[in-house]
Formats: sequence, C-alpha cells, structure tokens
Amino acid sequence: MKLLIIFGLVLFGIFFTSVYNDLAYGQFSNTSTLKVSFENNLLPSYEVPLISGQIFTLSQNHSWVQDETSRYNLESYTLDGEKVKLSRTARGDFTLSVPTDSSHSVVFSAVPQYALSVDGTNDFSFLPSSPTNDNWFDSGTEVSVNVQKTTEIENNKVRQEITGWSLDNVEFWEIENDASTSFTTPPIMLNEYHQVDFFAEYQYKLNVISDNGETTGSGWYEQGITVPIGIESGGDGLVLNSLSEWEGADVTYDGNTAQVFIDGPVTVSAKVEKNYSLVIGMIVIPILVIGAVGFRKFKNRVPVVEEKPVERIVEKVIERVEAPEKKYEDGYDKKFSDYLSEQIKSKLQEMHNSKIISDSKYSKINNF
Amino acid sequence: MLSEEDLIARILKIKQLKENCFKYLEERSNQLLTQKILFAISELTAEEMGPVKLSQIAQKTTGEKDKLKQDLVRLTIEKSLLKCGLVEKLKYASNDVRYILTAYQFQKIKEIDSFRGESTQPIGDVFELPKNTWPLSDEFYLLLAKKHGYEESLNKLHSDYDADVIPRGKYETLNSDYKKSLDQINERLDSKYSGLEALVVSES
Repeated sequence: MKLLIIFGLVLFGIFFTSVYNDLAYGQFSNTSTLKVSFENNLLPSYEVPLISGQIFTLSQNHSWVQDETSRYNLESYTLDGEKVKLSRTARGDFTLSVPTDSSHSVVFSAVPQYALSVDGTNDFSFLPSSPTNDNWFDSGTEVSVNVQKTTEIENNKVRQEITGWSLDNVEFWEIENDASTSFTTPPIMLNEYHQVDFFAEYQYKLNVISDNGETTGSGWYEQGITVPIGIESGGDGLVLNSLSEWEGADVTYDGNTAQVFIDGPVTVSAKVEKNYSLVIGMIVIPILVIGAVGFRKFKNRVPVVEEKPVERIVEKVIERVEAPEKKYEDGYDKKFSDYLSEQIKSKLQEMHNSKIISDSKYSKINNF
Repeated sequence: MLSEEDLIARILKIKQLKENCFKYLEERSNQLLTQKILFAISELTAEEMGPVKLSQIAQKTTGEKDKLKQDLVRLTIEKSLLKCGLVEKLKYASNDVRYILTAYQFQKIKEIDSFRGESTQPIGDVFELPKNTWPLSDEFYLLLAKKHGYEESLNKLHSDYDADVIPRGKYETLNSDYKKSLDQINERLDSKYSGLEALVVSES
C-alpha cells in the first residue's frame, strides 16, 4: 500500500512539473510587445502584443490631417534606436514587417506640410519641387512658382499670355512683357496655406499668305486691334505680279493699304495676277512688227492663203512664253480649314447631345 | 483649390459601397434630399471645377440658402453622405468649409463573413453619375473634339488628293501639319487625361 502511495506521489510530481513548465513557457511566449510612438507626440502612442511564430505587419498612413490647412507627412522611423529615412510620398500606407522574437519599439517622425495652390495656368512647376511630389511643402520651405508665359491653346491659332499674378488674392503684380519665355515668382514662405493666381489674356494668330511674293503682318495679336498687312508681289522675269484682291477675312483694302481687325485666329490670302504688259511690249510687239514686214515681202511673192487675226498671233506667242499648267481649285486652304472647324463643332454637339458635356460648358466652349 | 489631377483621380476611381449606402444612388431614392444633395454637389463641382460651399448646395437643392436650409443640408450630409464616404469635407479656413464627392463611379458590394475571413462580393453593374456632371475641364472636351476634327480632315485630305483636287505639294504640307497637330493632341490626352478618353467616349 505504502509503495502504491509513494508511486502515486512520484507520478503526480512528474505530471505537475511537466504542466508547470508548459504554463511557464506559454506565459513567456506571450510577453513580446511592439511599442509604437510618434516624435513630439504627434499621434497617441500604442502597444500591440507580438505572437511568437507569426509575422506582424505595422501599418501607418504616410499623411494625416493636422488642422484645416495643414497635414503631417512621415519622414523617418526609428526601430529599436536605429533611424531609417523613408521615401516620401503623399498617399497610401507605410508598412513594416516586425520580427516577433522579442519586444520592439518604433518611433515615427513626421513633418508638418502646407499646400500651395496655383490657378490660372496648367503650365507651371515648383522651385524646388515638393518632397511628396504634389503641391504640399514642408513647413518653413521657400518655394517659387515658375510659369511658362505663353501657352498654345490651339496650334498656331490661339495662345494664352500670362500678364500678372496675385498671392492669396491680396497682393497683385504685373508681369513684364519682355523676351523671356517664363516667369518665376519671388520665394513664398510655406508656413501656412497660400494661393497663387495667374492672369492671362488670349492672343490670336494672323497668317498672311500668298502663292507669290512676300507678305507682311503675320504674327500674334490680342483681340480688338487692327493690323496693317501687305505683300511684296515681285515678278518672274518679264512677267510682273500684281495684287488683285485679299481673301479670307474682313480686310479693309482701298487699293493701296490693307488692314485686318483681329477678332479671333485669322488667315488672309493675297490673290496675285500675272501682268504680261511688259512681255507684250518687249517681245510680242517687235515680233508683230517683224512679222508684218516679212508678211508684206511674202505677200508680194506668194498669194495669200489665209489671214490670221492679230489676237490669235498674240495668244500663240503668250502660249509659248507661259508653259501650260494644270488648274487647281482656288481657296482650298480656307475650305479645308472650315471643314476642320465644322468637324470639331459637330463632335462637340454630338457630345452635348449624348449628355457628355453639360449645357453650360457646351455654351462656354462653343462661344470660345 | 484641388488640382485637376485630383479631380481626374476621383472620376477614374470606382468606390465600393455597402447596400445601406448604395441605396442613396438608386432610382427609388430620387425623391430623397440625400440623393438631391449628391447630384447637386456633382453638378456644382463640374461648374466650379473644385469643392463647393454649403450655401451653394442648399440653393441648388432647396432653392434657398438661409441658415435653416443650410443646417438641414449640413445635417443630411454629416449623418449619411460623410459616414458612407460618398462625400469629403474640406476645411480651407475656419469659415470656409467645402464639400466634394469622393468618386463618380460606384460598385455595390456585399460583405461576406466566413470561416476564411471577411471578403466582399460585387453586386450588379458599376453605377456612374451622369457624365455631364463630371468635373472635366473645357480643355479635355476641346481635345476630344479636335482629335475627331483632325482625323476626319486627314481622311478628306487623302481622298481629295486621290481625286486630284489638290497638287502634291499642298497635299504634303497640309498632311504634315495636320498629322503633327493630331500627334500633339494625342500626346496631351495620353499624358494628362490618361484613361479618361476611353471612359468618357467609348462607353458613352
């Protein structure tokens, strides 16, 4: 009996020791934790238990709101005292796989950022560029806005010229009309939200074209002004060119000077006629004279077969001077340009009818 | 206010909504103030090309903008649209609060909680707000129209040349100029408005 009791006590001892060890190991395995905190207490600290054998992924927003006009953006983190710089980005989450073998601590470091909004143009850049590749900048940064002074809206027809700018709609400045292609604002200190507005005027292209001679007056002009235009028609040897009329827009032409009123992109073409008076004077008439003399001499010897009218002889001579050319339709450029405008308008109308463009936008675009 | 890129991202985004939030977009809710507010924000944003003020939304939905109406609209936005993530509230200054939609395309979803964990399942087609209320710039519409115009003009140019209506020199000059313009338009559409052309035109 005693032996049985002793045997039982030994068995209980072995069983208890085994269970105690398991419990102790279990308690120890659950003690690993991850402590997450933020420099300057930007966000509340927290602690999460780490379960041995499982991967723990820590996730933190790259940016979060500070107040109405600013945000914080992650810059770096320190894992167990070792600092790691982050690749700055505005959106999304930063994730970090934390080992669960022992307890760890992570301290995030973030910087305050303010937005700089730019209106009135899409053709601009920031100097220096944003560390988060958007229009948000770290507090205390000085930023300039570089803008292209001229933006072509419609190729070779309409362009936008920046003429002035304002900061926060409080201060306004004009931009000098010089030869430079871009303008850079003075540095703006980003310690609060700022807005930069650019003001622009539209300019229209005037094209003065002609198949013959050199034209003057082509260029970019603002709406509402009157531009003098001209042509140096010249000539081809003895065949002179002379201006007969202007085509393509409301050109005021009094026979000597011509002017165009700029009310949008305009193309005017000079119609030039060939003047053969010099050819007739210097070649045809001497030929006729010589011909007439020769004819008289010939008439004395040979009976006359047929009398050719003088006009026919002149035509023959002109035909020899000027090689025959294929005649193409006049004013194709304008008709083609009108066809393009019609197609653009019909597409806009189609999008309006299909309810892709709203009434207000359609009417605004159509007026433009 | 918001950049054009931000507005475009909102148009391209398809937001998933649970049934209790998706209901605000459905036909059966067309008499509800909540749906009227949603459509009003969409229309106003398209006109302003940016977030809109409470007074504007109140005027559009109720025809008045007095404090009572503004409070009614504010309460509706905060109780339903903000909670569902349909609308975003932006504070530019203490007295300048504006609202904007988070997306213009929405997918109704059902949440499934099984032993494998939580997952979502889409229900029905993607719902999109009317395209003429999307905040797209005039430039984008003009680019689409010009692209069509230049393509059609080039077709006409080729057929005119084949029919001997124009001489070779003129044909080559016009062909080169118009092709260059068309390339520039396509480049602009691909770079700034990537993904939008197919969404706006092809699926209309």
